Amino acid sequence: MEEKRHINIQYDNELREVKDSLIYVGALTEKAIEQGIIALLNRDTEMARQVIANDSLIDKLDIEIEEKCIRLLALRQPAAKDLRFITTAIKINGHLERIGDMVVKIAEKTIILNQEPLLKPYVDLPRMAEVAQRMIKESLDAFVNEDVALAHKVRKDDEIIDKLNEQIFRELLTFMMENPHTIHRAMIISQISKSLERISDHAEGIADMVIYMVTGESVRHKPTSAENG
Amino acid sequence: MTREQIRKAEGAAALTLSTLSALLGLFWLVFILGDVLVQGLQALTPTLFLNDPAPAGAEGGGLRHAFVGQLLITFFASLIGVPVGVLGGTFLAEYARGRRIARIISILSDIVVSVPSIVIGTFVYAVLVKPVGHFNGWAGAVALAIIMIPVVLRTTEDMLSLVPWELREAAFALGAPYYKVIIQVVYRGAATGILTGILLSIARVAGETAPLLFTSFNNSFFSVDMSHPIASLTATIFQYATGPYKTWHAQAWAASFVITVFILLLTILGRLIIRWRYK
Amino acid sequence: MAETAEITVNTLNFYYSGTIHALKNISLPVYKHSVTALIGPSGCGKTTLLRCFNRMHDLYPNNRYEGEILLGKENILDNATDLITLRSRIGMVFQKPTPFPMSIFDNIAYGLKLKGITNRAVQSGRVEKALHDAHLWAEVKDKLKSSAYELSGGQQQRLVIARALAVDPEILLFDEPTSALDPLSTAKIEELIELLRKQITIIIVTHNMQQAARISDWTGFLMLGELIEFDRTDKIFTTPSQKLTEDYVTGRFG
Repeated sequence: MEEKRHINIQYDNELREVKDSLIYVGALTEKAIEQGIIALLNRDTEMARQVIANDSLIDKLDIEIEEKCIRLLALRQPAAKDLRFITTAIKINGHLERIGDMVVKIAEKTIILNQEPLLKPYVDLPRMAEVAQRMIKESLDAFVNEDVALAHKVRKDDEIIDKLNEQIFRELLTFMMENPHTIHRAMIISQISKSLERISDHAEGIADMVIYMVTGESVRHKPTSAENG
Repeated sequence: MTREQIRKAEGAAALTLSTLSALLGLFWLVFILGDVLVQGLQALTPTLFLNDPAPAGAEGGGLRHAFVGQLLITFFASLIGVPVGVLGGTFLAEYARGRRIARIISILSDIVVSVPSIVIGTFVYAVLVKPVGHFNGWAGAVALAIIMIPVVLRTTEDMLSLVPWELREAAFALGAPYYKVIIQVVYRGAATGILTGILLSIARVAGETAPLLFTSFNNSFFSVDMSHPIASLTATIFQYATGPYKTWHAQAWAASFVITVFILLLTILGRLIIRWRYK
Repeated sequence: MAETAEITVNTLNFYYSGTIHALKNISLPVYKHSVTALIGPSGCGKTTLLRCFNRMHDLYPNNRYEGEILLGKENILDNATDLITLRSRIGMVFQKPTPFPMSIFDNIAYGLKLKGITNRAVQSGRVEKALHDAHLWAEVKDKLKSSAYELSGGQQQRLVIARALAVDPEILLFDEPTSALDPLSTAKIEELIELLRKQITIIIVTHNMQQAARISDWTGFLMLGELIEFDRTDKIFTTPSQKLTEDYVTGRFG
């Protein structure tokens, strides 16, 4: 449905600016995950350093978006849908910034791992990264299109990540039990897996906020199983 | 000439014409008032107020009879005109507000205000003098009252309409019945305006001559009997000014002076009240 | 928050001059000791609805009510309702301050006199109490005999509230009480309303949506004579259930 314009057109522009900035930051974080995983898989220290350096832009935009939102709250006194949009934007902004930090962590671990021989070829980790990346993309698509069904799907996808995370941990456990020399590397890989799991949690958080924004209903801290995906 | 010069010339011409017209009007005004002042002050003596007229042409007479007669007629005219005018205005502004009858009565009283006063004089002559058989003071008072009523009525209506409608609603909202709202709230709000209207209407009738000639006529002797002809200042001025004696002329000037000052004072008082109220 | 309905409006219809259908099938509860705000675009009927509660429309000819407004068990739209008693139970404060052309004291004593309270000592006590309740006492206690017109606009509005409070109403109707006031006076009136609702039930019509959001517990949104939505104020301003309400509170074209 075509949304009616505000009586004050500048207000519309300011809201759109926030939305556009969030989409831009979303794209940056997606790209960061992608590069982070490539750096991990290809044992590319240079690329990992690049990913860490790129995060400063995400941090800068994080502050910018938050300031824009606070300005809107103070000057426009938004209500109803606009109020829900801005609170959602603030939260999504926070989630994206944290995702950026997680990617930095992955890149840092990659650099450490690259100083030691490869423990094992990665199978589940790339799958996990792919799902997490898709979750971010879809949660942001849901935000842009106010697509509640897609947001519910993202919430469900979080279960896949949790399972993969457990699976990776069990596998690493067997390595560690067989050969204590692998413990250091296995722990680091486990931390990377944990970071990806966190990233998916943030994507789920974004999806929760999208559902709140569109319907006004708060689904946070509620199980996903009871919902239609 | 350039367009600008034409414009300036037009402006100068308009200014000159309007200034000349104003001066012409002012000239006569100052001339009349000045003449009344100079001539009147010369003839103004205490005896004018204290004595009744001396035999025609003799010295030392006064106009006590006319002053008293004038006051009596004006007093009774106000006694009739003010309540009728105020209550009628109240009807128009309150009970009949916005109704067709209110508009009709307003228009009719505006017409009566501009009807020549001699017409009212002849009307009262037909109603109150002819049946009685002789001129009388009551008829004079009624004639002046009839002139007063539309003035007071319209002022009251206007002044009551100026009282914000919200004020009445606020009083209603406290549970007041309409007559209490009018008496306790609306009249208070409009009091000074109505008072001014009354003063100005008195000033208006105090200078009337024509209607009195047909009603109270005149009387050369002191009398307070309203059922018979009674003297008034204006009628006496008319009689003395057109009379043959020098003393009469002087007294007519003095009487003109007194009545002019009286009307002037009433008008100034009215203006002061307005200024004080709406400062 | 109290949940007993003090007033219940049932399928109220109202016609101006016999023909203009200004209120259409309005039903809503007004809860005891709460603040109910009526919002909506100009001409939506919010003030018309407010003026039904104390039957102000009866002042003008050919106005007609249908349906019922229950105050307790009594339908105040009934012909038998004594308007003078009704209006002393349901006070009203208008958009522009309406002090009467008399002293501050006499303004407040006016309602008492109408109720037949003529004892000067009793009047004094009630006047003082009302001025205290309206948070005006400190500002006027030394000039009770002065004309009410000497007060500032904000003080005049609080004087008018004191005048309404003096007769112990159960309900107070406010018709855009702060639209003619500066922000500071507005804040004082709003604070006053928040305190008053502990004792009385308040219905307020306001153009200022932020004001409705700040001070009311319940909000009704009207449009073109219909009640589009009635709900708790926080619900109306965060997650209204009607699209029309949402467009209005977010400031979109109506």
